[in-house]
Amino acid sequence: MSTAALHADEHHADHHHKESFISKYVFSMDHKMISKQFLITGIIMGTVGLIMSLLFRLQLAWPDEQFSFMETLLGKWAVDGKLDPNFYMGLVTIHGTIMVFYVLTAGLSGTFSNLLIPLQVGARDMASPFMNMLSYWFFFLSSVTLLSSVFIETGPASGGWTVYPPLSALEKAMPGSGLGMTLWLSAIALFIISSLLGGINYISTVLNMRTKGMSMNRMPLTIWAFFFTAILGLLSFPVLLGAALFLIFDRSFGTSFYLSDIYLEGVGALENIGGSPVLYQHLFWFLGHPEVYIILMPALGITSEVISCNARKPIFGYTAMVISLMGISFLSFIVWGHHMFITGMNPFLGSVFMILTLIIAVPSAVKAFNYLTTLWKGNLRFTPAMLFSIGLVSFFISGGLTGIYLGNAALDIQLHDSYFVVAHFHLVMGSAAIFGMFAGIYHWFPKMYGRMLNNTLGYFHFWLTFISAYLVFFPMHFMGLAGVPRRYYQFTLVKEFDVWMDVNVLMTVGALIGGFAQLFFLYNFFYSIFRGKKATQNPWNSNSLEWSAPVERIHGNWPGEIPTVYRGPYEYSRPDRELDYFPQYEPDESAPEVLETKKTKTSPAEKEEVESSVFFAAIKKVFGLS
Amino acid sequence: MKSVKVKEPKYPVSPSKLNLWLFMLASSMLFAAVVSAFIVHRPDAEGRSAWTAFDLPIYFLYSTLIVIASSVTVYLAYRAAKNDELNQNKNFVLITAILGIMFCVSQYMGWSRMVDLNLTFVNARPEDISASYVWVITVLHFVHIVGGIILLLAAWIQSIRLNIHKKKMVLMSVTHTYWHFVGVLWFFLYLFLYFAQ
Amino acid sequence: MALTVITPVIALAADVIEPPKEQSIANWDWVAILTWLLVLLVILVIARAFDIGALTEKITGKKVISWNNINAWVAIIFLIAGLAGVWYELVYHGKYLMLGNAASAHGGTYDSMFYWTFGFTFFVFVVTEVLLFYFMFKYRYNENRKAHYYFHNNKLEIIWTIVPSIVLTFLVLRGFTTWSTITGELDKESEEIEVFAYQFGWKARYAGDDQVLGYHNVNFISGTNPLGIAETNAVNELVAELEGEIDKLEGLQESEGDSIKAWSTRWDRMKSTGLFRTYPEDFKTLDEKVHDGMSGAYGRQLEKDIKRKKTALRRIAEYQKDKDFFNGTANDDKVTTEIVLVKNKPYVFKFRARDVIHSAYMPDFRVQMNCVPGMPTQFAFTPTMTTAEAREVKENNEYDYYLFCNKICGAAHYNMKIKVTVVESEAEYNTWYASQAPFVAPTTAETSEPAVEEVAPAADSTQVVIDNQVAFNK
Repeated sequence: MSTAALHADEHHADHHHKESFISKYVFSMDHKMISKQFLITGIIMGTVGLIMSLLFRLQLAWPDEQFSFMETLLGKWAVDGKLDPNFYMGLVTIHGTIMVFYVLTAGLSGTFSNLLIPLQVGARDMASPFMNMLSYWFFFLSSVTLLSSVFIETGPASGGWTVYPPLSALEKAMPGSGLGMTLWLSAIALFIISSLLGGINYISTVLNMRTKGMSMNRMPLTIWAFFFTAILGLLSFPVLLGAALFLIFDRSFGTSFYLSDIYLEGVGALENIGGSPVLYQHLFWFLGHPEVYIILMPALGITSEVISCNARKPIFGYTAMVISLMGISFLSFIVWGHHMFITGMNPFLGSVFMILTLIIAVPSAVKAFNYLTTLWKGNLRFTPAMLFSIGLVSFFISGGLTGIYLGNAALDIQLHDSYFVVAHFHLVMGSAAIFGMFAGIYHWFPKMYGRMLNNTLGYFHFWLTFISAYLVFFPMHFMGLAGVPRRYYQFTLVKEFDVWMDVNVLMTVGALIGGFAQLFFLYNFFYSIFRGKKATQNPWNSNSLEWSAPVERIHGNWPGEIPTVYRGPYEYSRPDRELDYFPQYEPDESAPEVLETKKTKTSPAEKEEVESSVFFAAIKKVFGLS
Repeated sequence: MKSVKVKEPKYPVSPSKLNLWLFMLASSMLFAAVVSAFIVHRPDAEGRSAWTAFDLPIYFLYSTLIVIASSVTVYLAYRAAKNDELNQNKNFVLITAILGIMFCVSQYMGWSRMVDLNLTFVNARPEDISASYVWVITVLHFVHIVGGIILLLAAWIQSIRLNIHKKKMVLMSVTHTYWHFVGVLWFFLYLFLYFAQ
Repeated sequence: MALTVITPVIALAADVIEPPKEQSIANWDWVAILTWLLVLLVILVIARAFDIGALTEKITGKKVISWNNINAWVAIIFLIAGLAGVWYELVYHGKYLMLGNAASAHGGTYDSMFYWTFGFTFFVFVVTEVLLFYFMFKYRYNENRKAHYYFHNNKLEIIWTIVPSIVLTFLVLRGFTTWSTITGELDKESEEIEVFAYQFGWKARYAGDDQVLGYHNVNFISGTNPLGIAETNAVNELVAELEGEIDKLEGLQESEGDSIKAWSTRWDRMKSTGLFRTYPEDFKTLDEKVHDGMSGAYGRQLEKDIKRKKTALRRIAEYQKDKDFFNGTANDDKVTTEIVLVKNKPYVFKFRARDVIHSAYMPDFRVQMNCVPGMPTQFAFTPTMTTAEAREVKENNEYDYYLFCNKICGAAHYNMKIKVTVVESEAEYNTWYASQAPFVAPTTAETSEPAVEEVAPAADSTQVVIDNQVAFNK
């Protein structure tokens, strides 16, 4: 499916050597083509996931309504236009799986790591183009497997995207735990292989294949983010593979790793004994928590790059940004227990996980403040990419703050699995990451297709999406605080939840607006691939290395030698230069590497004094304190 | 590629070697997951008196000895290749591969012994969940060993074709590193299973 | 019987999945389709309009629209509207939030922890969001201005590392004490109530007159003994039933060949006479039977069921050897479909699940705990507000406390709840309590051995306690 759209490239892609259609568009080993394949598959999966969410949002807002189009669409799963509870669960599960793994892991990280790592560090291609190609095709197979599970008789996996056993392990516990679950597990196994192949490549390329002058501390923050993301993936996905293997053994071979003391379907207790269902949760969340950062960090990296470029201002606190990424990556491995506070774990262990979890707020806060300071006194060009990045910062703050509630073991007693959690992760992980992805698409579309996206449509897309995301997810906080549980098929059976009906309708309307807004994007994206305005080589006047490569996107990236890098990527608006940018690849031996270090040498203390006082004065002015 | 003529950068490390190290890291995490599952599960299951501790079949000890021996031979092969002693290299690679196959046979006998003791993967008695773990760990490792043997055979064929020598060491050094990895991995897994049981 | 044995999956699926309805172009939702087409059209028109605008700009050389300014203004409008929305939500829905009127003793501690967290985070939320949008507005692009070249400032960065750290340290310490209070020492006076979760419902078990919850085991569960309580007669009945079923299954196993032959004959007959068209459903079932029979799935399923039932018998026999296990403490236990509690009395809920993981969630009491099959858990709390009082506070005469399921557990997860009533006095409680029947009718209870008082009030019935699960609340 993706190949048809990519076919258009042929018209303007000026390749210097003969390639067959298959080797160019299908089994391509070129990182730019692979990134487009990831992107388009991701967009398709994202559309499916979005439509699923709209379907169950309709159910939640108007549980007694009959939607005849739903029957047309879903057949037996929506008899008389009313969604089947089992299929509702299936939709929730597959929506979660698609969004978490297929869109925000592969679609985001896969696209932009592939596109940007070689281009921004100055490499001809990935360390192993062949593995890279395999990575995409495993991902593709995995996507097909997952989508096919929606069409089988017993329905897709429906135990929630975390697929906790025993629910997911016992075919008789719910219809979705039969073949649907088997397909889910196969899809995830394929996905893990794809991620590992990709991740190995990303790390290896970043470590090994940087061009001359591109020292680690001159790498754009995108690369740092992709690098840490890949490390997280490399270390955590094998653990998920282990968890999935045990689950497969329990389901298909009859072992009892996760099963014990279960009575089901009226024929006596199962034979399984001695298993530990909580073990699965430990293994799953050992991946699951880093996974959250696998999703978020590339988006943060993209945002850093886009904000700095469009604020025409160096990113504030480059080192602090890198260190906080590092801190988040490290901490993400030791906080998985905060997903399990109420599984009956030892309270002492709960306290430890609580402390570790709340520490993560510190590097996150540093990042948020640094973004704000980067905007301060900038010269903000509101390209759609910039708007999406600012939207990300907004979500990152509003969603991140609620993490402080949920990381607190005591508060989690009430909030666990309520709508508060749904609000939290949809803002900080879902919306923020998808906004990062959009920012990336708008910013690097010229690099991918040699054409520009339409800005006006981009603005509509942004504002509608931004407003709708807040409309959908913000009221969820209040529902959660009122003790409304998540994953409920309808709320009409409990009187106490009646007061939330209007909010449910509001959220669904918000979701429909959001869904509608994506049409702007889809139209813009596919139209611009073929008919968009031709791009110039460096349309955003950006500093980083990828814009030194020709618009034609040749195999090997640069026609001649790979350019050398002379300075860091964020030298915007240097006072000593006419232009407000200073590309990394522009040789100018006389210019100092970083202007500021030279200046601070003369009077470092004085300078900092001045800077901070200006900043505080501005804050005071904003609040009218002066 | 058009850019053939221009000067291409030299990478600090061979990409395939770096990829191999990263792969080994990932696969160590897989074993770490399985082993920690074992560690977490045991007290939990024992609490419900559903954990059978048993002695590992002696064959697994033989496997360990074989693996240690093969680590020595693969090192000798590597050194020989480095010193351009091609004949010696060829022989040692072959010996290592044979030792690898012997390892497989020994593992197989160990498993047969477990089956004899009624410690099957799908537990005959549900309480024998410990046996399931031994199966998972040993079989996962076995898969890695098979990969190693394939690498060794590839190296052997290349060695016969005189494609491995001082200036062409990538395959040999990858094989060498990987074989050490599976060897060390087994050594630790064996120690773990021996003492944890 | 045989049918349910061989095709449980199909039987279950048939319950839930209805056959697909015929689809024709006539029952498409034309209105919806046309609406969407219209929407698409509108988008295209908008896109065109802006393209023309851009073209005009190009030709005339004048800027018609300054998107940069528009975006900046929209940002400010969004900020104001957003903050107003947040305020409206807090006021409008504030009264429905559970906070501030907790119905349990630890609820107050919980709520105060919440307010502290809310105070800090809401402050940060407002300040940072206001700054973000204000900066968007203030520093929008101006050709004549150059951005301030500002690389880093260690002092600033240290400040905003340290300040959040201090605030978080405070929150962590407070959270730690709150958490310890809630999960801390168990009140010795606490009354134990077992809460049993199954697909899809809850049952509660009160200890009965002897104040001791009897033992239970998953293998004892039967139609008449849904909680698997260790009561001699019920278990004996189950054993007899299991033996009967095994005989029956073994009979089926012996006549396996004949049955398959009979099914095939019938299949052939239906096929040849054309009856399969008249009774498609019957034919489908028969077809599946024949298929299962031929492929050996039928035989394997029989074997599996026999094995499973034999295992159950073996396990029950092992427990039956243990006389302590059937000490009669279970006989007077009362299994109820409603939970009634007395105000200001400490309780400890013992959670157990039959099939999959459930989670007992009582938002009014700030209580939540997972119910895991094979791993008993518990939660201790003291209700402090009666249902009547809650109705007053909520200004809702029909308000009831509920215990919800809060872990995805299957199709009817959304309807899995049990009513919890808190009454003012012991007397009210006793009236209700007396109306509940004990597990074994009192006449039988008298003949059985007197309740063994010296048996420690066994926390969880099964066996050894695992620190992982019981540490909670201990």
